[in-house]
Amino acid sequence: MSRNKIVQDTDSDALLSKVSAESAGYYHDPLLKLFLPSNVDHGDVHKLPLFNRGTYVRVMAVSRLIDRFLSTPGTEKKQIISLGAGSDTRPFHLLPKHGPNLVYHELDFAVSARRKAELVAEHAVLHSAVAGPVEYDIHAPEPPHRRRRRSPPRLFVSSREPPSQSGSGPRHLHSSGGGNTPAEQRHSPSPGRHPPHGFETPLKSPSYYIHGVDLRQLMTPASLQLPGIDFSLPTLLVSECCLCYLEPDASDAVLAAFVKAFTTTASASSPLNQLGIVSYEPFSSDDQFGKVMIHNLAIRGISIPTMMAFPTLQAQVSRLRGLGFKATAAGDLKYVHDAWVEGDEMQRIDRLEMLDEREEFDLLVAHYGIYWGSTTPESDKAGYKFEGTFEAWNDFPRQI
Amino acid sequence: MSDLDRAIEQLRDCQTLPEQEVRELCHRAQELLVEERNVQIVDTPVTICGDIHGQFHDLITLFEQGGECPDTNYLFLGDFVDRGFYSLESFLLLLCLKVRYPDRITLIRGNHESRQITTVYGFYDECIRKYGSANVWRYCCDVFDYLALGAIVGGPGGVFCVHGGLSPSVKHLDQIRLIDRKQEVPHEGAMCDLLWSDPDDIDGWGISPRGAGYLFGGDKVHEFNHTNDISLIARAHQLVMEGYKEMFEGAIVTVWSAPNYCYRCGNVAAILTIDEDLGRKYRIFEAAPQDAKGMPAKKPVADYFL
Repeated sequence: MSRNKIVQDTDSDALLSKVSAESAGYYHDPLLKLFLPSNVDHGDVHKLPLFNRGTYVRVMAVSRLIDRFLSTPGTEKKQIISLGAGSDTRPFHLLPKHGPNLVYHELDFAVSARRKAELVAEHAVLHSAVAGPVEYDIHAPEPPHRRRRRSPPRLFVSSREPPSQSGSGPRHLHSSGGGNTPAEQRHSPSPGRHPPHGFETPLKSPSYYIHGVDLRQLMTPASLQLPGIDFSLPTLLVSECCLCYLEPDASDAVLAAFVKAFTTTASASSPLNQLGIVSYEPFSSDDQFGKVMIHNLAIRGISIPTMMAFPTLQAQVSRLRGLGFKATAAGDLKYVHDAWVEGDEMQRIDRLEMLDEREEFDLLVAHYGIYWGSTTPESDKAGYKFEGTFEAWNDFPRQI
Repeated sequence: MSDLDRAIEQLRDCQTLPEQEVRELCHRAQELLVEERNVQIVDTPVTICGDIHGQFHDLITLFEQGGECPDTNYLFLGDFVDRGFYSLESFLLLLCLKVRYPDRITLIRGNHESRQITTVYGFYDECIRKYGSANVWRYCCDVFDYLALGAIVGGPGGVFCVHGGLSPSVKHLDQIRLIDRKQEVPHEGAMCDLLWSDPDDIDGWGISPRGAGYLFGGDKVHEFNHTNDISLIARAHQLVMEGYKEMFEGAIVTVWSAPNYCYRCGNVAAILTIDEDLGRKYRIFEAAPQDAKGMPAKKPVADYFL
């Protein structure tokens, strides 16, 4: 199995964990089951209580940070760019809630991006969460003899709203070696060059885009010129166990490209744009648990280079600060579990399942970090306070 | 060679027994265990072992480290099953040894020796997978109901052995002796607490984050030891990365005997030998390589949050 395929399959792990925690009652997300393969019944997915609880903490923490970013008053319109989004259901919950004030981009491997666009086209409940017009550009890269089970629409324009100015006819964006066709240029809201690499955008709407692109192609500001990305909007970058699969140099380059592209684009209305990041990834702690984890993942062909390169919360925080996220805070999942889950909510989840494996839970979740940072210059160096669009993040208890 | 010796040989090779043999074994074990007291009396020297959790290959390592039964007198503190891939083989081997050498091995009940817990944590599924029906799981659960709740090692001034810990309902050992233990582990009360509680750096009693049993402080440990004329509580139930951990000036010890717990935790394991003078000797051991000893071993796939 190729390394790319192995990384793509980690999304199935995450999905099964989320479905299991949902079934156990930790949160409500009826959309999750739509993403399960047809041969898996969501009622049959059972993970141990410690896994359900850990998944709950992870999902809750990332969601709360996103929600506070979106609900902070100030600039009307905001943008989310989710890296390695996989089967994440958040856009279908957030888009209807925030209407025209949210532009949501999901980036993933082309094959994963296409699969997700197909699912949106197939399920009215997903499709209707996206304000129209919605353009699909779903094509099979497989040779003709491997016919697909379903044939989703190649192009679908919602009839609810007239096509917007940015909407244009069906195009195949996948074949672009250089990618600089006039049609693509017309589509980008930002002036300038287009990414000098292959990418595709199998779903495109005024508020929601699914891009198929290899993240390793996004190491320069110019390479980020994907359709619909607006460098003048306050933007939150989300990496839920995604950038960690890249070599540290590569993920550093990707993050640096985003910081540069967003913070150097100044306009009259927004002289200093803000880029924030919410990141979730494991770290080794340089201890026995971390060593066994690296070994066990290697058996599955999975390598998480940042686990060793940034073995502690502090190392990862220092790294993000060095990359330009000057105000950065962090907590491991154990800390977040203890500090963010309030009394009533803790009682609720305590009642869901008996958590016999308490020490194991503490050990396991102490090896995953949640990081939240922003490029906004800190007003209080000692406290690394958040400002502007990210000000509400100061309310979250932080371990670092 | 008796049937029992042959079964022991077979189980040592990590091979299960036919359903009918399991049924007979469980029946014989029940006849034996029904005669045991809630708090068994055990002579020194004895080697005390903590949670095993179906890590069969590590159980074999444990016997290599501590000496084979019956040469060494053993006391297991419960949690033989669940989580690991070989709960059945591990429990049946211990049970065969118990029936074969009843005075050389003592098995006391852990919180996982329960119908409710084994359906969540793997033993039930393992039985279904290996036999295609729940019969063997049922036979084993019937044995669980007969396991002792604790033991006293070495007489007055000796060691009280229990899986979890103390209970606010139990001040005196005699109160344990009054429990009707032949039942599924209840959700509350003395029997539940003995199997579920944990020591903690608090005063008095606290609410357990596990949802059953209590947290108990050093004051409660000293009080209990004084009242009952014992020098040490030996218990298991909690993962300890270093294999064992003494607390409250050595008045209680946690012994953990599942190395690299769940093939994920990276911990070492320990066993504790109590000698004739009630001296304590800990022996530490590491996880067996999965493909060692030519035994069937599927590569465990440990779950992570990816």
